[in-house]
Amino acid sequence: MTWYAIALLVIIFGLAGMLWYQVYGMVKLDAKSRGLKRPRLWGYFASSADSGLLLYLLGRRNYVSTMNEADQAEMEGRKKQALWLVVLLVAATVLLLAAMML
Amino acid sequence: MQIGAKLKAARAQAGLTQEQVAEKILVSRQSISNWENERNFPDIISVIRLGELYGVSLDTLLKGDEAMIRHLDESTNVVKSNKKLLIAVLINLLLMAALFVMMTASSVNEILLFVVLTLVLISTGIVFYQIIRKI
Repeated sequence: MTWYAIALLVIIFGLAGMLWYQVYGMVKLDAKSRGLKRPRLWGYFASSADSGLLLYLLGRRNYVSTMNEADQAEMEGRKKQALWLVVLLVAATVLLLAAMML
Repeated sequence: MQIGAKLKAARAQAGLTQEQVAEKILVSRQSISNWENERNFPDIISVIRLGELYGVSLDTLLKGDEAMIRHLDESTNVVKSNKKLLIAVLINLLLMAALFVMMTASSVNEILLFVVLTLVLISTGIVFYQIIRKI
């Protein structure tokens, strides 16, 4: 493996970790605003796997969100960061693929 | 008046306890309490059953409660509220099928494989993007 492939792998792990943290934070905030018990546990559950997040989004539908403005602003900030992290993750993975295959 | 307050008033009018209502419409007493205190919304079937039990029309229960109507629209129209996500998932599945076919072929053009893999990654990223937007 070349040095830049290893560097890309490290970057990918870093980005994935940061994305995990943002999703955990968003779900924790959302669960808290909907009055769900143990919002941190929901955060861990939803951020641990794609199906966890989907299950959370399906299950929360009957609970009303009462987020205050400060939490809403935090949510929007985290969402923007998460979306950018997804874009960067995809780009880094494509570069790694190119480094390894071409 | 929001649906929670209407349900509470209708139950009081009907002279029923939360336990009695819960038993009749086959939900937990806690659910009745949550709906009346607006901690969450009842599903449409429960709203219909409550209307029948209390002798109150759906129109009376739902009219003017925009939040409840939005909730019902989102929860009953799964396709409408998840159109982009469903399209992204479908494209992702098709690309993964194409990738699978290519991987099982005897000889594969590396550049074509790279292109398909890239498309799979991009479509997976789009699926994640759509899911995160829904949080």
